[in-house]
Amino acid sequence: MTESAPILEFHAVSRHYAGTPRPAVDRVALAIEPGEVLALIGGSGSGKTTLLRLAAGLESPDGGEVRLDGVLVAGGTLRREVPPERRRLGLVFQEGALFPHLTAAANVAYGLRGRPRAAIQERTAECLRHVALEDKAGRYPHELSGGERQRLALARALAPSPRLILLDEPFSHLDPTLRRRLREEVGSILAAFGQTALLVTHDPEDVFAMAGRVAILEQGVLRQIGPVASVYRDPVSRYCAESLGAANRVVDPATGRERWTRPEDFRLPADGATPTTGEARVEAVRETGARIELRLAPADGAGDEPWHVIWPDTAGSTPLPAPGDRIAVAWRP
Amino acid sequence: MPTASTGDRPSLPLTARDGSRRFRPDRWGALVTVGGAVLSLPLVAVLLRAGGESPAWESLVGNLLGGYIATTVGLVVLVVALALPLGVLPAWLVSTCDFPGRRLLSWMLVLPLALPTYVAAFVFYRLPEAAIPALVRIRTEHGADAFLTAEFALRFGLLALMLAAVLYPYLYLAARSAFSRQCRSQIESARLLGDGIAGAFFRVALPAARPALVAGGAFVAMEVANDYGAVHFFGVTTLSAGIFRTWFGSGDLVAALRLAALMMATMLVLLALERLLRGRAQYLTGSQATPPARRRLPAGKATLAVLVCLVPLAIGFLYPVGCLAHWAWLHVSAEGGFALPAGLRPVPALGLAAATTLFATVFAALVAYAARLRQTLPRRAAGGLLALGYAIPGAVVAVGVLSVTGFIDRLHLPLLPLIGGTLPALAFAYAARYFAIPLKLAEAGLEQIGRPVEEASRVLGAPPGRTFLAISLPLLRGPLIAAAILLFVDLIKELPLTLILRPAGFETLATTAFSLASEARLQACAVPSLLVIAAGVVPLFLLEKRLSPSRRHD
Repeated sequence: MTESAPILEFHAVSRHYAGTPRPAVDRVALAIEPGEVLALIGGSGSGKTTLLRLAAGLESPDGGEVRLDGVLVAGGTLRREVPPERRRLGLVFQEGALFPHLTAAANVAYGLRGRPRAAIQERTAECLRHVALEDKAGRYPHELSGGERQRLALARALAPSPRLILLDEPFSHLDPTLRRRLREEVGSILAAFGQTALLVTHDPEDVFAMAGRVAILEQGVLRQIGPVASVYRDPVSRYCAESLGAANRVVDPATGRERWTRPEDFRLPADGATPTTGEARVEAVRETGARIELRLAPADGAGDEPWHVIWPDTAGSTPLPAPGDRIAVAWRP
Repeated sequence: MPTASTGDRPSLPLTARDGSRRFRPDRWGALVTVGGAVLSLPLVAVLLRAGGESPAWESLVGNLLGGYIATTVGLVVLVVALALPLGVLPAWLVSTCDFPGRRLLSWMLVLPLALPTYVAAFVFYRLPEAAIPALVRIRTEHGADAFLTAEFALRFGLLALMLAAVLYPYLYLAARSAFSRQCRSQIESARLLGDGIAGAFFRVALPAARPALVAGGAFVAMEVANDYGAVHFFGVTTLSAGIFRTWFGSGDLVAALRLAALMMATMLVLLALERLLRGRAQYLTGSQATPPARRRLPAGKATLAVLVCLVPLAIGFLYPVGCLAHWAWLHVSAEGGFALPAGLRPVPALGLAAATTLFATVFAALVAYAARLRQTLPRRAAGGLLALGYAIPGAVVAVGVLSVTGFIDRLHLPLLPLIGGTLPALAFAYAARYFAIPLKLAEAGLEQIGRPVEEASRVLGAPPGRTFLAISLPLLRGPLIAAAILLFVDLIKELPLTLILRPAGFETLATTAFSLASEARLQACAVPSLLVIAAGVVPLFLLEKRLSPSRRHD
C-alpha cells in the first residue's frame, strides 16, 4: 500500500441484474484519491446507488475489479469477495437506517467494538460533539428530528475512522431549508475530518456544496468525470449539462456545432467584448425575487429550443425588453 | 475476531491470495440446508414409502377416491365462501367505523382461534337431532334416498357453517390489518370522487386488500382440508379423513400414504395458485400512512354494526363455550368435582408445547435471516420446503415421522436409545408440521425491518452472526413473540399428531377431551375442552394487546 494509491478504484466494473434488459452498471472505471469528495450524479436508474453498493460490498460485480487502497476486494479473475464488514468503510443511507433499538450513543459506538471501553466512550463523545448531538446521546432515533437523525447517521459512519465514507442521497428525505443547512454542515464536518467520501445524489446543489469532483452516470455508463467547475462549464452532452443545472443549447450558425451554456452566461453584446451570437425574440419576462429571467426564442439557426436566461445586472443602463422584442444575444466565452 | 485499539488499523487482508470468500464454509447456508433437510424428512419418507405394495389401492381409486375429492373440494369452497363475509365485514366495520363496543369486539372477534374445530364439533354435531322429526317426515313421504340426501345435506351444511364460524378469524385478521394499513387518502379520494362508503369498500378497499384476503383464505382452506377431528365427528369423509379410514379401517398403510402424497400435490398446486393470485399485487401502501378516520355511526347503524360483529362471534365462540360451560357445570355438580383422567399431566404436556415453541421460533428466525443473507436457490427452496409441513394433514406428517423414527431405531445406533414413541419424536413432528408459522412471521418481520439497517451493521464491521444477534433479533422481538403465541396455541389444540405419536399413556388436554367425546361422554369432555380453550384465550388476549392496530390511535 503506497501513500499515493487511490482509496477506491473501479476497473471496468459491471453489474447486470437478472431479468433486466441492460446492465445497471456498465464497465465503469473511476478512482477516488485520498481526501477528496467525489460526487456521483445521475437520474433515477442511472446506476449510481448500485455503484455505491458495489463499493460497500453489498452487491457483487459481474465483471471488472473493485480495489480499496490498491487491494482487490471484489471481482478479478478469482471472483474474490471481501464482505462489507471487512472493508472498513462508512455508509450513510438515504433514510439513515439507524438502529431503532439503540440510543444515539450506542448507535455511534456500534462500529467501535473491540476497542477499550474508555476509547469507545471518548470517540463516541467526540463524534457526537462534531455533529452537535452531545446533549442527545441518550435519545433513541425516534426521539430525534429528521435532521438530527441524518447527522447521527453521519456520526455513526465516521466514528470508526473509515478509509472512505459513502453517502447515498443523504439529504433527499429532508425539507429544502434543512437540506441547505445540513449539506453545509456535512460538508464542513467531512472537511474537518479530512474525510475521503463518495457522495451519491441527484441534486446538483449537493455537488456544489460538498464535492471537488463529479462523475455523471447515465444508464449505468460513466459519461463524464472531472472537477465540478469544469464539468459545469464544459458538459459533453445535454444529459451531463442538465445533471448539474439548467442549460441552453446554442448552435454556432457558422459551424453548426452545438454547445451548452448556463442561464447566467447570458450577456448583452453591449456590455463588453463578448461577440454577438445571434438574435432572439423575447417570449416571456419573469421577475423571481432577486433576479429577472427571460425566455428567448433563438432566431436564424442558433438553435431550435427556447433559452432560459438570467438578465445580466446592467445597472439599469439597458432597458428591460418586453415580450415580442428582438434582441441581440451573446454568451460568456 | 478482529480487535483494534486505533482507528487506523487496516482490517483488510492485504494479499490478494488469502481466503477467497468462495472457498470458505458457508455456515449460514449449511444451517438452512441441514435444517430444511431434517424437518422435511417426514415428507420425503411419505413419498418414498408410497411406492410400496398396496392391496387396497385399486378398489380405493375405483370406488372411494372420487367421493373423497369431491367432498373435500366442496367443503373447502363452501367454508371459504361462508367465512369471507363472516371475517371481512366485521374487519371493515371495526377498522373504519366507530360504534359502542368496537374495541371490545375488535379483539373478541379473534377468540374462535382458541376453539379447536373438534371441540366445536362436540357441541354442534348434536344440533341435527332437532331436525329428526322433519327428517322422519321426509323419509315417510319421499322415500329412503331423499332422506339420505337431506340428512347428508344437513350434516354437510352445518359442518361448513361451523368450520366457517371457527376459522373466519384468519380472514378477519388479514383483512383488518390490510384495512388499517390502507392509507386514508386512498379511501378519502374514493369518497371525494363520489363513491359512498359502500362504494369505497367494494371499489377501493376490498380490491386493495386482495393479497391479504387470498392469504387468509388460503389458511382457511388449508385448515379445512387438514381437519380431522370435526369431519370425523360429522361423518363427512374428506381426503384427510379418508387417510385415517384407509389406514386404520383397511389397514393398508401404503394406500393411505398414496392418498397423502396426492394431498401434498394438491396443496402444492393450491400454494402455487395463491402465489399466482397474489402475484404482482404488491400494492402501494403508505407505510406511515394514517388509517382512515373512523366514522361515528348513528344509533341505528351502530346497532346493525354490533350485530354484524356478534354473529360470527356468537356462532364461533360464545355459543359453543356457553354449551361447554353448561355441560361442565352439570358434570361437576353431578360428580361432586372433576378428577383429571389418568395419564393427563398438564405440566409435561404444556412443557412439551412450550419447548417446541421456543426451539421452532428461534430456529425460524435463524432460517429467515440466512435465507435473506444471500438469495441462493437452495436457501429459497429450503424456506419453501420448511413451510410445506403446514399445508399437509397432521396424519400424513405423523406417518412420515413414524417412518423416520422407525428407520433410525432399526439402525440400532450405539448410545442412541429408541426414539419412536418418545416426547422428542413428538416435538420433532410438531416442529415439522408447524414450522411455517414462525418462519412466515419471521420473514415478514425481517421484511418490515428492511435491509438498510442490516447493511448498515455489516458496513460498520459486524459480520452476519453479530448483525443477527445485535440488530435483527432484537428488532424481530415483536413478530417472534406473536409467532410463539400463535404456535403455542396451535400446539395445545393439536390432535392428530399427538394421537398417533404420543408415548403410551401420555395425554394432553386435547387428547383427553377427544377420547371422552368419542365415548360420547360429552359432559365429562367439557372440562378439558374448556381448559384447552382457556389455554388459547390467554395468549390470544396478550397477542391482541400487542398487535391491535387500534392501539396506536386510541
